[in-house]
Amino acid sequence: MRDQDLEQLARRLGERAARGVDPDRVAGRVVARLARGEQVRGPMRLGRWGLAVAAALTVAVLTQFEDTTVPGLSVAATPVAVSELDVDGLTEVLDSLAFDAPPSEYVGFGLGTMTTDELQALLAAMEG
Amino acid sequence: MTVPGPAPAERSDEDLIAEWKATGDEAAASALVRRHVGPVARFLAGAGGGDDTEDVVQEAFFRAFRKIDSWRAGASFRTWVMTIGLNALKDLRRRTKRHTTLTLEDRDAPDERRDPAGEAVVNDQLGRLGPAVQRLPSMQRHVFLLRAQQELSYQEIAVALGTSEGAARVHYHHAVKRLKQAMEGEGHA
Repeated sequence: MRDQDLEQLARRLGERAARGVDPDRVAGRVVARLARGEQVRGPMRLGRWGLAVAAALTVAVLTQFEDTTVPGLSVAATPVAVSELDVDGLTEVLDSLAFDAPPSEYVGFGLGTMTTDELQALLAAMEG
Repeated sequence: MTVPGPAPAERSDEDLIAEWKATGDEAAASALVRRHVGPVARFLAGAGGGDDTEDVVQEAFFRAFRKIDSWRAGASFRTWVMTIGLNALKDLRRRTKRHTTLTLEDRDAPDERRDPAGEAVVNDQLGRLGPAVQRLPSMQRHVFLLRAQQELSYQEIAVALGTSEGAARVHYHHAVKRLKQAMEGEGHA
């Protein structure tokens, strides 16, 4: 398959699902929620201990790759303030490592045997 | 005598946003939603919205208006709403513990406006591409959709996703490689 064929196909991705979305209905509901003064439901936050454990876990993972070349991830060039990451950021980091690192990089490290779902479940279990 | 201003549909995004911020004008908010709902819906459907696409789209616009002060004049409102929608989608999936249920509509429902035979082939390909896109790492998935589906420049993608142009190119390259492998692999299976 050529790149342009893939791109042409991608332009139609979600087309039919989107066709089922009624603009008037969406606009009406959005405006009604705004008029009611409804607040945005906040994202999940890690508790203090959960954050500390998740940060330590992330540091451990990043340290594991410090001397290796991981496609798409340069630990040395990208200082990561893990204490500032919320659950989305941590999941993103773990997601990237789980998907992008060659399997051999994980040998001998517990995270390597975990699927993304398991990693996400792990982080979810750390919530305060 | 007061000369009426242009109808909301004829005004720029920036004007409508300014109106909404200044007066809470519902017509301005509604016009913005109607203007961008189609592309935003396609993007979020492609990103894994499945049967929940309309709810996620609604949530994306609602959140956007609630945090409109963080929108930067000059930036694309549409792309900004799309990125907010990605977080809304993530929150929804986390709350419901449900993973993507890509609607079968993408594959099964013929499009009567196009050639039926060709459409069947495309529907089959879309039925394989959708799940393959869902299997991509999130950043690759988002970059791929913004580039290939929404036809944004790498610069726009970098701004939208808070990454660099170079990184966006790398993510796109990896995404295309994986998707081609997936499509060719499944096609020969």
